[in-house]
Order: sequence, then C-alpha cells, then structure tokens
Amino acid sequence: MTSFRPLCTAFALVTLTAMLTGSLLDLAHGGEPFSASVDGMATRVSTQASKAFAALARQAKLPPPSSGPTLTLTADPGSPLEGQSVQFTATWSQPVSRASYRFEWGDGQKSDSSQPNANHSYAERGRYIARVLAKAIIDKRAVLIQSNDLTISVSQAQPRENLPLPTLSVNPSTPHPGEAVTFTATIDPSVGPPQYHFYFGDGSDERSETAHITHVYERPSVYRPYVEAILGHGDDTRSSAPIVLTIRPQEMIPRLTVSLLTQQPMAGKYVTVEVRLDPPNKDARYEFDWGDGSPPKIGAENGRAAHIYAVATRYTMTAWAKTRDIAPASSSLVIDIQKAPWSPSLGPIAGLVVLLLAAGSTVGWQLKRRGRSSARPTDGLRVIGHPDTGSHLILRLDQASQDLSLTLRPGIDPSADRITFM
Amino acid sequence: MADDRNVNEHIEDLTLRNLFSLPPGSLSDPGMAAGIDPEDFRVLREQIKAKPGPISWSLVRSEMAEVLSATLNDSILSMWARAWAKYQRLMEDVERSRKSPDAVLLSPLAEHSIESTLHPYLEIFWGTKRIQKIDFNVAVTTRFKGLILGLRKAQIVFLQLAECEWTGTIRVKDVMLFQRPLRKLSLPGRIELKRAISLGV
Repeated sequence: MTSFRPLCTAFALVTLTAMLTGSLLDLAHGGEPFSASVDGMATRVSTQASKAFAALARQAKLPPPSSGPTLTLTADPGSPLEGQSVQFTATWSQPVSRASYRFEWGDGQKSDSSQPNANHSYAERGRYIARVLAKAIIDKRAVLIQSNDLTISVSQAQPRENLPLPTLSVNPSTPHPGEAVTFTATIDPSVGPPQYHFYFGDGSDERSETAHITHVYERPSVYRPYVEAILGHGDDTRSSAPIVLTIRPQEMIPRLTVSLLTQQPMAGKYVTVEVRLDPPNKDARYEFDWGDGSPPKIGAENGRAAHIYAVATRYTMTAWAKTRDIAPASSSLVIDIQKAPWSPSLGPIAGLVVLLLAAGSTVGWQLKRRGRSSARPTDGLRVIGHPDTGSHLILRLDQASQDLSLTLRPGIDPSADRITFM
Repeated sequence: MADDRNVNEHIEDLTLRNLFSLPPGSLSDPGMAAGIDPEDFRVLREQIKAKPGPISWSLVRSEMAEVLSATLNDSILSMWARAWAKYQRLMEDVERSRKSPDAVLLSPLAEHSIESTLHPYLEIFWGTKRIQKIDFNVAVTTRFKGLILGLRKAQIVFLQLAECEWTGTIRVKDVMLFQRPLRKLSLPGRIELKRAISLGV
C-alpha cells in the first residue's frame, strides 16, 4: 500500500480506505483522526499509510460521487465584522447517520464536531474560504464528503470605543412610590434598531423591544437606573451612564395651628396670635383674615401676627399657610375682645398696683389654662397622616379584542361622538 | 346591589374620601366591629391613659378620624389612570396619540376591574415623641363594564363609561372599620376632563 497508483484509482482507494478506517478525512489533512468516531470501525491507520492516503486524497480532490449525497455549507452572517460570531451550518442533501464534521475556517483554524453547525469568529478582516469535511454512514457504507467552499468576507469592526452610548431619560423626574415612571432610551440610529435591557436600580430589570418602558417603585429612595442597548442581535452591548432618580416620599398633610398669645385681648389694643405649621415649611406664606372686615394681613414674622380690634365682641379669625407644592392649610380661632378698662392716672403707686394686679391675673389665667389644656387632645397629642398613592392592578382585560363590543349606556351617542374602534 | 346616589361632584374632584362617605369624627361604621378595637387602638388608648391629665378617648378617635379622612384625598380618576397605564395596548394608543397631536384618539377598553390597595398611616405624637403608628389598609375594587378613553397628546381628555360599580373596605390589620358593598357609581356617560391626565409617554 505504500507504492503510488494511477490517479484514476484514487477515489476508489480512498473510499475503500474510508470504509475500512473511518478516519481518512482527518488523514487527508495530515492531522489526528476525528475524535468523533464511526462505531464499529477502526479509527487509526499507521502514520506511513496515512501520509500516502493524504497525498492520494489531495490529488484526487475528492468530488462527491455523482449519485451520492452532497453537503452544503452556509453562514450567517456571510459578511461579518471582525470578532463577530458567525454561525456555520452544514446541510446534507439526503439523510445520513453517524455523521461527524471537521470545519475548516480558512484562517488556519479548524474545529471537529458531531453536530452539523458550529460558530466561529474571525479576528482580522479579509476573505476566508471555509469548508466542512464530513464522514457519515450511508447505506451501511462510510462516506467521506467535502462541502462547497464558502467565501467569508470579514470587514473591519467599528472600534468598540466608537460605538454610540445610549442615554436614559425618565418622566416624571421626581415621582412618588406607586407612581408609574416611564423610562425612555435613546441611541444614535446609525447602529440599527437595538433592543434594550432596562435596569431600574431597585434590583429589578426588564428587557424591551422598544425604547420605552414603565416601572413602578415601591419605596422612596435614591435609585440609579441605567439601560443597556443590545446591538447587532446580541453581538455587542453598550450601557448608558446611570441616572440619579429620587423617589420622593409622600408629603405629609400640613396642619396649621393658631394660638392666641395676648392673654386679655381688648378693643383698641394689639392682639397677637402665633401660627405653627406641621411639618414646618420655611417657604410657607401666611395670611390672616381677622374676621372684622379689615383687609387680610399677609406675612407672619417669627410665626406671629398682630391686629387691633376696634369693637369689643367675638371674632373668628382664620389663618392660612400656603406653599408652592402642598395644598394650603388653614385654621381658625375664636377671639373674645373685651372692652378696655378704665385707665387710672399712672402715678408711681398706682402703676405698681396695676402691675401687681396684672401679674396676679396672669398667674390665675395660666393656672386656669393648665387645667383646661389637658382635656384638649391637640395640646399634647398630635396626629399626623401619611397618605399613600397605593398600587393599582388592572384585571380581566384579556377579553379585549378587535371585535370588541361595548354596550353603551344612555347618554352616549356613538355617531355624535364619532366613536371608532381601533 | 345598592344603587349609589348620583355623584354630583365632577369626576376629577371625586376622592376616596367622597367615595367612602366616612361618618364625621368616627373611626368605624356604626355597628361595625362593635366593641372590637384593633390592637393598635387598644395600645394607644392605654398609652394615652398613662399620660398626665385625662384625655377623652373619643376625642382622640375623632382627631384620628379627621386626619385619616384627610389622607384619603387621592383622586379616584388618578388611581384608575395609574392602573390603565399598565395596560400595554392602551399605552400603544397613547403613543399613537402622542404622534398625532391634533387628533383625539379613542381607545376602548373591554370589561375589566381595577383593584387598588392603599396603605395610609397615622403617626400619633405626644409632644415630640411618637407613641404609636397605625397602618390602615384601604382596598377598592372598581368594575367597568365598558369604557372608551379619549386620548390627545398622550393624555386622557375624556371618558365614556358604559357602567361602573365599586366596592371597598378600610381595615386596621384584620379588623374591618368601614365596608362599602358593591354598588353602582353613577357617573355621566361622557365625561370631559377639565384637566387632562397624562399617561406618561
């Protein structure tokens, strides 16, 4: 078997050897036999013999028998970029069994497989000739066959650092917990239609075919969501810079309390009230309607406002605290204005007497007030409410369809209202 | 099923507080949970009892009821809108309306329900110290027999309702405070909104 024969006998010889060894495919290329062996057949021949068969196989160029199976190699994509993964698929023209494959990529590399498809990427641009060599059992015979030559044109990839980055925007910019937040991803359209993977920063993420997605945050906090653009069907991904998203807690409902500071309000004298807003808000603007027909007073220095009532009677004054973002809070206070007492001539002794009387009156009023205050819950006790926007689920909408029928109630006129169904 | 009174308010002004019609100054319906106070209430009552000076428990409850009522000031319509915003097909219509800003786009929704759950809470302070926190569970289910939303520039500008009914409860833990049986919500057939509601696209 070591002497050469005429070339016309090469094909028959190679086929016969393949039948005997099942390993000629590998030998024809000077390497080790296939790792994927054909069961029941020898898988090695001597090195000397293998060299001879390799030479014969090369000279014979081994076309497939005209009546035998053919093997077609295809690639997707056919014109990849540097480093891009290409999927190669070998397709038989007729059923075969126990097939094994050797893919030659054309760049000096090869891969053995028992599967008719394989992936490969080319490191540098250029034209490469790829082919697959296969052996299989057909009609109880081991057949060795080579596919078509497939030209792969590899282009220079855009440097990764030159790929555009997506950006992420959010609306509303400072939402509350439970509020639907819409994220929008934007990327240079030259990269083709990407897919997006949104990472919300609260541990959840979602893939989207579109650039918009809605998410609901459950708790107030500062989150850093970002989006990943998936380019070229997954060949590359680019991530946006995270944005800082603050989920604001629900505002507490402000409560305003008004208290009277003047102990004995009298006609013709200043009456002072104090306002307290809970929670405090330094931007609050206060307004006072004194209830006597006078124009409202705006502003409260140090939380206090003063007014002179002309007539001794009962008034209901109202105070408002207004802020830019929160609904105004108000509170009312009933003030009994008394007639001003007779004023004695203020000699030194008379003045002292008046002072003592006033002090005694103040102490008495304070003692009396202390006894009253415990019975009023708002003096020591405060109740603060925290609303919640809640979570809202929509159910049973799977019944919606194109031929939706809607039973209109009285008052709806489809024709007048130009109702059309989408 | 009870037929609710007509809702005289405009739908945009209709809040949970209006919907439940909470009895003023009361933390539960008459006859509801008779004699049964939630544990949180009992603890609070004991804490207040221990404070110097007698404070009427009924006054405290009245104060809490007033504040609870104020926390239920969320617009019903905005609640519904938050649920509708999760419906993909509607949001596709919203997106179309955004791209055709001059047209009013009608988006019909088949019969559906909206289940809303809210967790407002009250904090009770004695002076500057918080002595109790009470969590409420407000559950509202609204059923729509049919609905058309009028959309312009990604906003709801009007609604056309076939029929709408609702039911709701307010609880503290397992103790029911308020319960509203299923009843119709009498709303006009076509409701033009004074303030369009953005659906966020």
